[in-house]
Amino acid sequence: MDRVTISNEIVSRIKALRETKFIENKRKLAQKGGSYNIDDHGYIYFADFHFEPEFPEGSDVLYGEKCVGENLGRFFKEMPVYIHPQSALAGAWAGFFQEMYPTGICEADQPVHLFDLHKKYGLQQTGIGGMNHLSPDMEIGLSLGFQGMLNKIRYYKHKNQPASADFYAGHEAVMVGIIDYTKNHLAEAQRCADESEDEWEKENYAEIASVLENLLQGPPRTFREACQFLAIFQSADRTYFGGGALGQLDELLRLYYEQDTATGVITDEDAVWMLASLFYNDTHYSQIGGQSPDGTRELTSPLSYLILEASHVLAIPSNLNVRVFEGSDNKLLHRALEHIMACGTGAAFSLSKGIEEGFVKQGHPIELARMRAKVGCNWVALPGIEYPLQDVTRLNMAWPLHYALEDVMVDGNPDMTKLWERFAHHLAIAVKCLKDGYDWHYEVVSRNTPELVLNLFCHGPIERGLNSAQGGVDILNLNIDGIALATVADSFAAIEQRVMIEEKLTWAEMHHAVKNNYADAEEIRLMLKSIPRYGNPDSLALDWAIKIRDEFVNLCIATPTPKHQLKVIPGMFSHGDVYMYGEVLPATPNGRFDGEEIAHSNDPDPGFANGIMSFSPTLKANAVALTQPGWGNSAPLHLDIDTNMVEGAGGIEALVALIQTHNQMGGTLINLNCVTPDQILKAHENPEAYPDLVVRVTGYSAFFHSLSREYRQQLVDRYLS
Amino acid sequence: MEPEVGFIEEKCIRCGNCAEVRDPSRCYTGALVEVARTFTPQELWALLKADQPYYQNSKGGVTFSGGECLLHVDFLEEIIAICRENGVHTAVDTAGHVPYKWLRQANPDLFLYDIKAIDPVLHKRLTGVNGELIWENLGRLLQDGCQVQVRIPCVPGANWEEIPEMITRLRALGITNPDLLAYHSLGADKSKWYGKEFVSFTQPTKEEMGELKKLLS
Repeated sequence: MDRVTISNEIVSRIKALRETKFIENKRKLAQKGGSYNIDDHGYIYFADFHFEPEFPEGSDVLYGEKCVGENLGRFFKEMPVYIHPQSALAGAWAGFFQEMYPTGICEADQPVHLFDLHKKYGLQQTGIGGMNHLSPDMEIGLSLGFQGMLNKIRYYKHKNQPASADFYAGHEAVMVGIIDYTKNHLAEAQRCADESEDEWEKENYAEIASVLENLLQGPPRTFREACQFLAIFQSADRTYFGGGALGQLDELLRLYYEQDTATGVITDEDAVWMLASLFYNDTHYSQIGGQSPDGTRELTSPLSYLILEASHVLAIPSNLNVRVFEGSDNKLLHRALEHIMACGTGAAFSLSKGIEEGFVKQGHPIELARMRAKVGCNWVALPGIEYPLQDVTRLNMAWPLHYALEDVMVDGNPDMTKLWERFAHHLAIAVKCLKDGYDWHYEVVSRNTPELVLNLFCHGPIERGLNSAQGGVDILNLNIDGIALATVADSFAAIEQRVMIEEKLTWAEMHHAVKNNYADAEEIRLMLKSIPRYGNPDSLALDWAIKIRDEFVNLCIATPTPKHQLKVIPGMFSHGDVYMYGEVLPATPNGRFDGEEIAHSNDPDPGFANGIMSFSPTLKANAVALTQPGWGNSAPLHLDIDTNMVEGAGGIEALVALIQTHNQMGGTLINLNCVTPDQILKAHENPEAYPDLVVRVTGYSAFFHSLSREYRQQLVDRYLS
Repeated sequence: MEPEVGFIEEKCIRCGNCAEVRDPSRCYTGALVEVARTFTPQELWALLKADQPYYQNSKGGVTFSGGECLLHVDFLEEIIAICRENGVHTAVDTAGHVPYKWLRQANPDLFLYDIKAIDPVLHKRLTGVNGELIWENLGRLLQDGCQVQVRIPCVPGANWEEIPEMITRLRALGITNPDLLAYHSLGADKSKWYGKEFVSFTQPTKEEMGELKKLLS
């Protein structure tokens, strides 16, 4: 599709949103202590806003369906109103509810029986109490509207006559709160329309008021009403445990767009402005492109391009994703790459083959697999019918290696076979511990922190009176992410090469050096570090990486959780948490010092390629494709490419080929940055001078200057390698 | 396989491990780095085929470069034949200063043919040879119907002034679309590793290159 022409008037409105974003971000950063290492959410910091929660008796934590629901509902009602004068939409959210008012698993439901193992194996994210990692089906909300959704809750409360009224009471309170929040914005829009002296603004406020009034009466009927509905949803969803999924955005809004453009209600540039207003409201994850469930229709439509354009003109972080599949015409992919090259805004690329084949391998039909949308940092889900709980459980595989090395040194006569056996032994204990944790989660999370917002947008929870984590939706896919693959693979390979094959070190020398954090053993450290590392073709480390991956995957997939027989799916996503996990990990035999970061997801470590195997994007892409966990969850390839190099090496067409090839090879997700090393170094040294540099950290998009020095360093290291 | 070794001085800690043999695998700091390796054509193909899907999706292929890769023409002939058998497009990046029969023996799908100057004196000063063979070979390749993409490195202070004349002469040969490649200094580090002096020039600006490219229209 040709690029839409956008008038100066619309551009200036969108730029005004962008300028405000910079101002609001400064205030947020000040509130957050100077940096913000997660997704650059759209919330507004309302310094004067005060809310008084009502805690359960004797508890300083909010928990329980009714208690949390009523507090959250009242919070929505009391939340400040916000309408940006240049926006097409009303609403903003005010920060994470659970961060302001402790909300979680109550004391009596804490998994104390697992704490020792959590501590031993460094299991910091156990999945227990994991929230909001499922995708709503926004069609539910768009077809029912707020009042329809409230009526639905009341209908099923009456029909099901549950033993406890708490489930429905909590959800009803939330829904009423969302409606109150909408009413408050209607009043604000009317007030602004009355008081504004600018003619255009007056008219715009009046239009917003009209949209909100209609939404209080029934489901959205126009493109703008649908966008406003999504903005209100986003505001509520993010507030409660940071939910952030919209789903297949181009398809959700397509019929509204076609109807309104055909009847002349809106033009393409109006649509761009409304979409930009939606993206200003929040960075909810959404997908564009891909295939229809039966595989006969490409989902890319003119609206897909307008969505990309809106994100591009707004030029702030957004979490769009382009679905890539073999046989697509690549035009949408091409356009997204143009945007990344131009200014860093753009999309991540979710790859169909690996995601879909892995899901099919679980026993699901391919038609269902095609419907899985990329709606989180790395994760994909079936909107409204799957509880995937990806990205909340991590197993740092370097801990099992640490204990394995200790075991073989104590036992005496160490060799690689024994080291591997002990590693597999400890890895199995850690996986089992996480599976036990999921059984616990299944039992307790619903009575503590049910998915009070997302349940409303899923097929089943309200109809059945069940939280989506506990039978509310049909498919439960509980994920465990194994992380530090390169750290562990390089460690095994270093020991095998330097100790067993070359005999340059004894086991005792190697162990002594590692145990003492390489004190007075720099030569040994460098010796271990300088082997051909994971990422090099035909290297020992690559063989180990595949072996480790296989073992981890098998431990996850071979058996369900012990008690409730829930399916567990392996993944390999570290998020940006490589510092957090490295901080508490002793030195490792790959030459890594105590406390240094671990490897990212299943990426090779920065600097893995040198000499004749000098770095190339394909070298890294091949390794990541080869070590995919393979069951439908994404393990991303992080590509940080020098813009100058792209321009000199085939340009965007080369990137298209790279992305399509990674898809064919079984890769699942590509997070791509294109800047010059010079740009990123300058921005790292003086972040304030580059307030508009947008980067993709892992799956999420952020302003570079908002990140902490450590997080910025991750990107710098990736570039300099 | 015998490695050829480069040296990155900044990484050297004078540990003495390489006193007897300059073996990168003994150099734990990475100061000694393997920069070239001897392959058989079959061994090289084993490495190349890992990227075969990229060649197909990009409609690209393998480019053999150098130095002057045609100095290893027997090897080149064999690996190009293997690539062709496997459906991989091949290009040879050459300075053209080799016997003509070598160019034909290699038989790639495409020659990336560098032209650096016209004036024999200037050519000799810049490259050590007068360039006559290079121009002659280019003419013969074209005459024989070979696919040729001419490339002109554009180096201010070296051949910059001659580029318009080169474009004219190429046009007379029927070549209207030579690639004008802006000089860059990416090879500086590598020269240092080899212990060779790197002769540096000024990099042309985008605007200067834009002006130059107007001559092609």
